[in-house]
Amino acid sequence: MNITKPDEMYDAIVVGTGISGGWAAKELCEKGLKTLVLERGRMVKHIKDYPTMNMDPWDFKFKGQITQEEEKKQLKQSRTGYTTNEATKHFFVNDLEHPYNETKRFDWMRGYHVGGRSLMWGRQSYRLSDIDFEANKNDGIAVDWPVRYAEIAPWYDKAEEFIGVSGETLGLPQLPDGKFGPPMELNCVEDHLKQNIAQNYKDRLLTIGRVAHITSTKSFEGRSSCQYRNRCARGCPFGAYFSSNSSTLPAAERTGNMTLRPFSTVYEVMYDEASGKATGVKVIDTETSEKIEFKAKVIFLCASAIASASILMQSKSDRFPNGLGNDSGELGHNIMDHHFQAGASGSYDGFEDRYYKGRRPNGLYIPRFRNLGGETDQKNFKRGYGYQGGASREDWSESVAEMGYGKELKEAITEPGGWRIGLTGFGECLPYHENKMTLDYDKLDKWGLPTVTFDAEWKENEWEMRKDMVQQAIDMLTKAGFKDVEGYDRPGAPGLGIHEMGTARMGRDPKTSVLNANNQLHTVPNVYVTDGSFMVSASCVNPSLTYMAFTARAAEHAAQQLKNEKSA
Amino acid sequence: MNRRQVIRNLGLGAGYMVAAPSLFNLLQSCKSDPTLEWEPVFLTATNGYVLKQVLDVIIPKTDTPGANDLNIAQFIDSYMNEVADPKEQQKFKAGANAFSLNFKSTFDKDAADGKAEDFEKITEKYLRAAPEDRKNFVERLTAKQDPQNPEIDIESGSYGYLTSVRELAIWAWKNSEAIGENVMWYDPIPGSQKGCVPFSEAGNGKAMSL
Repeated sequence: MNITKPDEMYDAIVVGTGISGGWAAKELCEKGLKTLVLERGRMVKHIKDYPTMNMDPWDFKFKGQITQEEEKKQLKQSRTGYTTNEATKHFFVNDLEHPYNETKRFDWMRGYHVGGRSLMWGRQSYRLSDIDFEANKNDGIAVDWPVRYAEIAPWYDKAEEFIGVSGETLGLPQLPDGKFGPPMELNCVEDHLKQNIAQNYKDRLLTIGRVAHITSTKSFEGRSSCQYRNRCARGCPFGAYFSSNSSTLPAAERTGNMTLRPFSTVYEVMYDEASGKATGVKVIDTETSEKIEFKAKVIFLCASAIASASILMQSKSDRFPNGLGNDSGELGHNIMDHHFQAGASGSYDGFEDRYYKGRRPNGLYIPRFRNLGGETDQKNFKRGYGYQGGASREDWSESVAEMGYGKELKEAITEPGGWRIGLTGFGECLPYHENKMTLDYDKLDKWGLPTVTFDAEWKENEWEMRKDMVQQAIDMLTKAGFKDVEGYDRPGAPGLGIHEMGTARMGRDPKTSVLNANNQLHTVPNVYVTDGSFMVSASCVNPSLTYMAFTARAAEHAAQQLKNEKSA
Repeated sequence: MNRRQVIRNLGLGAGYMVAAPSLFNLLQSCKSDPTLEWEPVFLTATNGYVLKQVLDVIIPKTDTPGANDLNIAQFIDSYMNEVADPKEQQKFKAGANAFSLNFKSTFDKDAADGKAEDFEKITEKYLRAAPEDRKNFVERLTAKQDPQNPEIDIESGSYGYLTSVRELAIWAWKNSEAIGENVMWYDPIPGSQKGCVPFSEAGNGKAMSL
């Protein structure tokens, strides 16, 4: 095999182009750093490479359902039941080409292409609060976050202002407000529940979700406001929601400082023992299988929590026999996700002459209300959960038994059906050292690289919390007059929330953590890890906005370090 | 082109998203040629004929297109062939066989020789059955069956078959271009969002098709 060693020395290398990689690329390039951005998958150009963005159900052979033949390639990717269909399957990996191993079931959902999961993400955008940053310390669990809210707040501002977040300010200590565009509207039945919760409960409220969609008239380069088509995961021709493809990568490109190289799987960070620093990365070109080395002064690993940990584990040297920066032995451990799909649904009699306009790419949100002190504290579990959900008028087709057949059936099914609402809790998962990933060198992928093995599970705290997630949802709906209220609990497995995180946690002590407060490897300061790997606890809110804020902050730190070295 | 081949070809190749934007368009163009008879790929010829007859009862042509104007029998046959999992496939086939046996014992002739009024009669018996009878059919359907002989209970099998056909037909009909764009509320680029408005501002009593 050829090993080419391009002579060009970059200032920075960014590994990955998803939520974190896109932000690293933008920030580093805008600070004048010559940046090589490496992506293991294919190119996806904004708009041009969204083949299904304008397709209606009848434009697909089976209205959007995938065939048995196609499903065989995505048996793991289809475990969610909602992510892979004819409109989106090209943005999820082929499980036959990208296998992994499960000591315990783990649902590893991902896309290998430029933009990564920023194309298909759920767009819910929330801030962590000091209740989250202090939680481990107060509970004596795992290690303390080396960061507090005040330090990260300006970076949340910066992220929100660039991506555009729509939402409502609430003044809640557990869910800090941000820089929001106008909120989307609740529908009649959601608003009914909101009013009812306000009357029945002092400890909780219902709001509209905070989502990374443009709803203001403010100008965003190359993007326009949400058109309410709700086809986000196919790629948006309006660039109305935030993705790397529509937002950060074009910004990086405009500086002239970015070199973007698709089909480039990074498998090792090269380490120089004399200087104590990383010198670059080793790459396999996935099309030619050629091995290539690229050099840079600073490396940003943004490949996702599992892939970045995997790269560090493969980066072995005399100094780091267990993986780069892994003196603590925590690398690959403490995997967290959010556990969800526990809640309730119910139907509502009323508002029969009301409907809604637009397909809102968002739902309702009930922020965390457990374990916030005083009467909210729970005996059976630590931390908390928020509810996401929504109401809609259903298809009659689900309740047409009475309609029989013929002319009256035809008429009934073209009309809006009854109202139904659903609530699902998103619960915080605690960090457990024994929830881990490892590498299997006996099972190699088609490029000869080791495969990932997962060994993680929900434990007592999560199971106890789920009982409350179901019961509180049932109670709120019942009190608000909903009918046929049914609780449900479908735990799935870790990974299903597609928020896997925690594999290279931050901390104050190199003996118990992998990264420092600036997202640098404690022991190799020119390597930054800014994807979900760094999370010390999971909070109960969707994490992507936090990755953006920490990435921007780390990029500022890295650029400053380079500047200092130059002037020294 | 042989219609069987058309459907087969559509099932192959990854380029269909670009190459075959609409199965219905293609099938409709075939249908306009009266010399070609539809040959099912999944069902037997008799059960294909039965499916068309039953669809004519469930979603007939009125002032809007009926199931057979939109080639929904062909769609269901090819859906069963390519999308349904083996369990669904077996259930659907067994249901179709149960229905044909039931037809024969009811009218003392083969379903292939059945007339529209026969199909109307037998469909009515099951899809307009009293609620307690429907409950009984469902119980018998979900009870443990001999996997070697799943079509033994022709009554509950017929009920199961007709409800499956109805469910698939409603879904296929509503998600067809003719209905989705012209009969239901088609609003491809809403441009704005309103949470709670009267029908007069949101579809005039029609459900959103997208």
